[in-house]
Amino acid sequence: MLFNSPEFAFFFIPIVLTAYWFALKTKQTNICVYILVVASLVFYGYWHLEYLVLFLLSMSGNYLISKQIFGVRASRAKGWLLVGIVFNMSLLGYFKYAIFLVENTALALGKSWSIEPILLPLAISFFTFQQIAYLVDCHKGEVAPPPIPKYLLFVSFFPQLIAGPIVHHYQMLPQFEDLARKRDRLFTFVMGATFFFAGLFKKVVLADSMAAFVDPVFDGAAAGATVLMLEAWIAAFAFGFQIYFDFSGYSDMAIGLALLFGIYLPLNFNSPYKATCIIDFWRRWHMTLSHFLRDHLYIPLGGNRVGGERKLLNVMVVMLLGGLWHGAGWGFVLWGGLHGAYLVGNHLWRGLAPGWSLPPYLGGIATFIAVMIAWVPFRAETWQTTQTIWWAMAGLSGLDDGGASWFGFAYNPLWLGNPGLALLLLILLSAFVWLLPNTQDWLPYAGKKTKSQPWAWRPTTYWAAFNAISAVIALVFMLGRPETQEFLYFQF
Amino acid sequence: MRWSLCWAGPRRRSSSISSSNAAKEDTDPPTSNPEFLALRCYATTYFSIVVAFALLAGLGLQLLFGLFLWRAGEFSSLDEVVARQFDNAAIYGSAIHEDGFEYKLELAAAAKPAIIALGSSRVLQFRQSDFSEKFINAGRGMITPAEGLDFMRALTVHHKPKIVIIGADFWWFNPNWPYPRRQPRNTSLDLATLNLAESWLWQGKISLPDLWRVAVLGDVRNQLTWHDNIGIAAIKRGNGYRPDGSRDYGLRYSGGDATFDDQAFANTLARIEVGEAQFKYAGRASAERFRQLDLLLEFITSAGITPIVVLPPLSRHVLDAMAARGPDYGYFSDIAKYADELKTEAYDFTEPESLGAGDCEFVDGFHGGEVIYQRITANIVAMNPNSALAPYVDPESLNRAIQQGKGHALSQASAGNYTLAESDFLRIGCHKGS
Repeated sequence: MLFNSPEFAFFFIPIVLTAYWFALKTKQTNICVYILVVASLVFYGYWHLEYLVLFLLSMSGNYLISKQIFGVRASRAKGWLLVGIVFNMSLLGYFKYAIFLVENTALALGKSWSIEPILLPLAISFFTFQQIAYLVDCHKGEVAPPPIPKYLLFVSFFPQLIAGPIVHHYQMLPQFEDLARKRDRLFTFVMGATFFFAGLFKKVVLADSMAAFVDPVFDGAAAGATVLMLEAWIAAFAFGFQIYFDFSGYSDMAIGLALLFGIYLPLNFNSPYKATCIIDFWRRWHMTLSHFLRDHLYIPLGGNRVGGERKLLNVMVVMLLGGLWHGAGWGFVLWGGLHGAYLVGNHLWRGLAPGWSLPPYLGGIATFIAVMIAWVPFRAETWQTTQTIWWAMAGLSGLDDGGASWFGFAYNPLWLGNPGLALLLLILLSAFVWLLPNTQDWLPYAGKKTKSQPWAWRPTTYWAAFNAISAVIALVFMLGRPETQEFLYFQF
Repeated sequence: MRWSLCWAGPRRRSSSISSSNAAKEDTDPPTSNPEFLALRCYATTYFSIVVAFALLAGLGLQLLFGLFLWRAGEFSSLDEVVARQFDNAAIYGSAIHEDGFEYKLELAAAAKPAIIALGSSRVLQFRQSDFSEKFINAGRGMITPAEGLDFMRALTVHHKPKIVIIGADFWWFNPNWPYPRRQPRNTSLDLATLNLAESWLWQGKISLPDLWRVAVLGDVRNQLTWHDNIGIAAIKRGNGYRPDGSRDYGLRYSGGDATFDDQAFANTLARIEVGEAQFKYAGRASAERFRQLDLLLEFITSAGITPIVVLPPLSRHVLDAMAARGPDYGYFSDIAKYADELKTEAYDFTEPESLGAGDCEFVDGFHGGEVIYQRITANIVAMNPNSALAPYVDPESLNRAIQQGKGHALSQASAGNYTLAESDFLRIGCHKGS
C-alpha cells in the first residue's frame, strides 16, 4: 500500500484514524499502541504476506537478543550484541546482497555460479539499521527493552516503516507513553494533514511529472540507443529533482501521518540543493541516514579524532558502504564513491586553503552540478547506461541528430517530447528548491518558531484556502494518474 | 481583515509543536482560548474547501474532457469522418477507437478504388502516389484472414476493386497466436472514456494547453502539418490515416513522439526475448491457419478480383534476434514454403535485403517505412512484368522516388508535408540528411 494510493488515502487511513480516535476516548495508551501495531502489520503485510513473516522474525529475534543484552553482565552482553549484529546482517546479507556477492565472486573467479532470484523484502535496510542501533544502545545501557507491543510499534510504525526517516528508540519510545494525551491534539492533526498534503503534492505533482523526462532517456540508453547532449543533461537534472521531491515528499507524508497520531518524527531533509558545498549537502540530504552512518560507522572507525589521511579514508569507506546500503549494485557503489571523492576533495580544500572558500552562490552551483552528475549511476541500471549518459553529457555523442532546428540546434526532441517544456520545468523547479522555504521552515515543527517570517504558516483563512487548494490539486493528480507511482526509495 | 477571519490575535504561547512539549499540562483546551478558536476555524475552513473544491474539480474536469473528445471528432460517425477526409484531406487518428474494420470498409466503399491493400498495420505504407489508378489502403481492415474474408464479403456488396494486395503477417500462421476478437466501435461518451482521456493528461500525452485549444477554441490543427485532423492521435501527434487510408506516423519521423518506444528496436527485441504478442514461439506453422488464408484468396478470386500476396519485411536487427533463437521460430520456413506454393501471385520479402533496404528505412522493428513499400511495389513489377499490378505502376518514377528517399522511412513526397525533417528517430546511427 502506497501513501499516494487511493486505497491508503480513502480506506486505510480513515479506518485506522477512526479506530485510534475512539481509542483515545478510553484514555488507554495501550489500546492506542495495539491499534497502531495491528495497522502497521496490515500495512506491511499488504504487499506480501511472506514479507510479514520475515519482518516478525526479525523483530522477535532482535527483541529477545535485546533482553539478553540488558539482562546479563557486560562481558556477556558484548557477545549478545555480536550475535544481534550477525543476525541482522545475515538477514540483510542474504535477502539483499546474496545474488550480488555470488555473481561478482563468480565473475572474479571465472566461475559460472548463480543462485535463484531472492525476493527483496520491503524496507529491510531501514528496519535492520533501526534495530542494530537499538541493540547498540541497549549494550550501552541507554535503553531498557520496552514492553513487546511498544517495541513492535517502535520498529513497525507504518508512517516511517518503508523508507524512513530512520528513528532511534529515544525519539519514539517516550512518545508511546503519552499517546492518549489531549494537549495539542487539534494542532497536531491540522499540521499532520498539512504536512501530508505538502508531501503528496511534492510526490504526485512534482516528482512524478519528472519521470517523463527521465525514463525514456535512461531506458533508451540501456537499450543501446544514442543519447544526445541536451537530453542527457535534462534527464540527469530531471532525475535529481525527481528523487528529491519523491523522497522529501515521502518524508513529509510520513511526518504528517505520524502527526495525525500525535507522534513526532525526526526531519529528513533540509533543502539539500541549497547546500554551498558537498559537506553541507550531506548535512541536509537524508539526514537520519547521515546521522546513523556518522554514529554507527564513521565515529567507531575513528571519525575526526584520527585526523589526516585516516579520516579521509574513513569518509570514503562510509560513503562506499552508504552507497551499497542503497542497493546491491555497482551503480550505487559508484555513486557512493563519487560522493566520497567529493567529500574528500572538500575536506582537502578546507585543510589546504583554510579560510579560502568560493562565494556561496558559486559553491552552491558547483555542488548542485556535482550532485546531478553523481545521480546518473544511481539511476542507471548498468555501467553501459551510465557511460552512455555521461559521455553524452560531455558532448561525446554529438550535439544534434541532423533533425529539425530547435533554437539554432539541429535537434529533435526524441525522448523528451518538448525540450523547451522540459527546460522550463527544470528552471521552475530550480527556483522552487533554491528560493522557497522548505516544509519545516514554513510550518511550525519540532520547536521552530516561524511566526516572524512573512511566509510562515498561521491559522488564517488565507492559509486554509491556499493549503486546501494545494491538497485538491495533489488529490486530482493522485486520482488522475492511471497507475500509482511507487516511491523511488522503496527499492532500498 | 477578510483573509484573516480565523486569526484572533497573537498567541499566548508558541505555535510550534514539539515532542518537548510533552511535559506541559494535559487538559481539554478552553473553548474561549483565541488560539484554539483560530485553529478550529482554520481546520473547518481547510477541510470544507478541500471537499468543495474536490467536488468542483471532479465535475469540471469531466465536463472539459467530454468537450475535448467531442470537439476533437472522436465521436463523429464514420461517414462524417470519410467525407471530411475527402473534402479537407484530413488525417483521421482516433485515440479511443479500434475501428480499422468499419472505417476502412466505409473508406473503400466510398472511394471505389481499383486497387486496395489489405492486411494489418504492416501494409499501411502503400500510398496512392505509388499507383496510377485510384488506390485505398485498407490496412488494419483485417487482423486475421477470417476477418479479411468478412471485409471482402462486405466490400464486394458495394464495390469490387480490380486488385487486392494482401500483406500476410507471419503471426497469422502461428498456432500459439490466439486470434483476437474484433471489438465494435464505441461511440458512447461514458465514464470509462472520460477517464481514459483524463489518464492521457497525467501520462503527459496531452497537456492543459491542448485541452484548452481543442475543447474551448476548437482548434484541431498541429504545427507538424497544419492539416485538418480528426481524433486525438492525429491532433496531438500527427498520427493517423490519410485520405487514401495509408498511415501517417506524424511526429515519430522527426523524433518528437514521446510515446514511441522502439528506439534501437528495444521494444520488438524485448518481445522476441520473451516470445510474446506477435512474436510467440512456434516450431511449426498451423495448417488450419493456412487454410483460412486460402479461403480468403478463393473468395477474392471467385469475385473476379486479382489477389497478390506479399510477405512484408522485418528489420535486420529483428530477423537476427529471431534467428538467434533457433527453433523457436521454426515455423517461418513453413510460411516460406507455403508462399512459394501459392497459385496466386505471391512475393516473400521477409528479408529486407531482398528489397535492397536497410534498417534505417523502418519505422520500428517490424514495420517498414514508405520507401520500403515503394521498393516492394517496384520489385513486384521488376520481378514479374506480367504482374496484375504492372499496368498501374510507373517503374521509372517509382525508382526515382526510391533513390530520393533511400535511407529514410518517409518518401520525399510525403516529407514535404511536414514542417519537421526526418531524424534518426530509431537511434541506430542513420544519417538522415537530405
